[in-house]
Amino acid sequence: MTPPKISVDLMLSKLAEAAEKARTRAEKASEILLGPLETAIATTPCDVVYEEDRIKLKHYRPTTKIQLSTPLLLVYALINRETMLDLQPGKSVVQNFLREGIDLYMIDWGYPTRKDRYLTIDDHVNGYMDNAVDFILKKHNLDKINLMGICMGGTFCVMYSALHSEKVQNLVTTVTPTHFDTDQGLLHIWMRDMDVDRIVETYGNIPGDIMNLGFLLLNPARLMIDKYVGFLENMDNKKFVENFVRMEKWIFDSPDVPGETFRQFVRDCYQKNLLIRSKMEVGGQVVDLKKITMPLLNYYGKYDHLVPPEACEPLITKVGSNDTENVCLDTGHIGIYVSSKCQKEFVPRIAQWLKQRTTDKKKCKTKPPSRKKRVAKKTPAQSKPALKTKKNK
Amino acid sequence: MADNSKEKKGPEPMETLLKGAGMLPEIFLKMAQTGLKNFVNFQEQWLERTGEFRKSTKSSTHGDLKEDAFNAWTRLYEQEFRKFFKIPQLGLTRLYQEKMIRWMDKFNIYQATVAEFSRLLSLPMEKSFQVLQEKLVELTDKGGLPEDPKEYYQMWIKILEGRYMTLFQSPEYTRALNKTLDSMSECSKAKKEVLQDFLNMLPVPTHKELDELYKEIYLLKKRIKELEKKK
Repeated sequence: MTPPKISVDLMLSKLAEAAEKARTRAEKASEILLGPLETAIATTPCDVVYEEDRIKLKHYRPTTKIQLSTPLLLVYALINRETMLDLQPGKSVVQNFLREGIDLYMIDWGYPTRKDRYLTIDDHVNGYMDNAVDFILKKHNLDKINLMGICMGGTFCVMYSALHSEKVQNLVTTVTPTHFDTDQGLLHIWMRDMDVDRIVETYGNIPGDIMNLGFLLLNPARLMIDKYVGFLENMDNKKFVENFVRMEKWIFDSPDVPGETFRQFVRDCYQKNLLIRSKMEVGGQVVDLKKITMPLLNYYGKYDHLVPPEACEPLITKVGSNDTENVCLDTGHIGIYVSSKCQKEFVPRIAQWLKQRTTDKKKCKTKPPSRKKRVAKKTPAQSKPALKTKKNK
Repeated sequence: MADNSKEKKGPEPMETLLKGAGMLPEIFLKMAQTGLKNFVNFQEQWLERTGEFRKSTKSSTHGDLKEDAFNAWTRLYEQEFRKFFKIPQLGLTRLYQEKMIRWMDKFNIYQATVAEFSRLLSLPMEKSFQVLQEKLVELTDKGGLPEDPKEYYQMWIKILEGRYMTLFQSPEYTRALNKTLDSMSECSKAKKEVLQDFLNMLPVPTHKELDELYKEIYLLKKRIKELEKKK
């Protein structure tokens, strides 16, 4: 038997090359890291127009002529911060919406303190959200607004739209979990047997640091090792370092989650899956998904390990609306908002969808098609490989 | 005559004392014997208990040694050591002593569960190196070993990622995770109770007192908002 050929000398020379490259890289990296870096996030100008307790309602200053009189209210999750939607110029969902002529508002949930531990989902949905919506309606002299939710914020938007359907013109949900009884997605498996009562009684609010650790443990190989190996390989690239630091700033900026909200979310959603079955109670009222009769656009990511497609897809089949659409992107949980590929498609598509469904004919350039045609019509994105669309018949 | 005999014998208390002093060595010997006997009994009991620990670890294979050691230690702690933490406390400060001991007990359990959880998390790391080795042997036989060191890293990280995914979906991991979270909560709760007692001695409000206040404020605010909406 001939001994196998292992080109040790070649490997060693490669290693020597890599070591030399690493040395050069380290020299340049020290210049970059010790020099000025532009790492500010959430820099798009806005005004705080309404405040209630820790909550702030931000109104973004228009950068172009408003094309839609019905404003859009963005509702982020209670986990992490809404600054992800405005991470940097060129990767900003907020700026993209402004460029499309959308009048944009966003709820900033702030940083809960111990006194917020008793706030429930009802307080957030029927309290803070409803007050913010009422403020916008009053300011613009309107009956309805457009609503868009991200992740848990989307879940809140679904509840709100069912309970206050008279105030919502169009609903957009993105990476929004509504069906929790699935084994796809580690969070769904882990939350099932969690003793949430014990955790809430002990900590009051769920500490942001524990949430961070939990999310890191979802994929420690990539999130704790590979990510930083990638940083070391690219730390001589100033742009890369700046983008990396921005992302780090956002990802580890985790507010605590109010205890009672966390308790109900885990128990009623993750453990009992009441929402998708229209059995969840919020503030003594049943959230009946059939009452969601406004148009619904539902985005999710094919490779989302936090909110898998199985947790998002069923929503359009449970609502009362005839105008619903699922859009599956070839990306992960936050790739929809931060990846360059999705940036070009995501916001313009939503803006177009909203403009087609606005009731303000003066501002809208595109004639809204009839309901039947709209449902059967193929949208342009379907022909592109990145987007997979499922329409509700 | 009688006085002389008294003088020769000495006073009675002195006599008794001298008699007693003569018995001291015998008394000390008896005490030492009893003490030694108790000590030996105690040692025997300890040896019996640790013998259980040895028995369970001796029969394990090398791969399961750590797991069995954790289980044996947990069993040993719960069956033997924990009894001492449950001895009833006495005296004026008994309540504080009980809380302190409860904290120590919960801390020990927390340490054990965290150690077990950490061991579980380290398994994919160990396994990934094994699998990488096997893969390299396979590639060597085929004559297709990568030349770029980065490719070895990519291979390893992919294996590691896969191993973690498998672990995280297992019921064993979910059980360990929930056990760790529960023990962490219990330990934290017990610690807070002890700290509350210390803080009560100082002129500062405690979490418990503030929580009661926050609850009242929350309910009052809710009521006001309801009334405002009805208006």
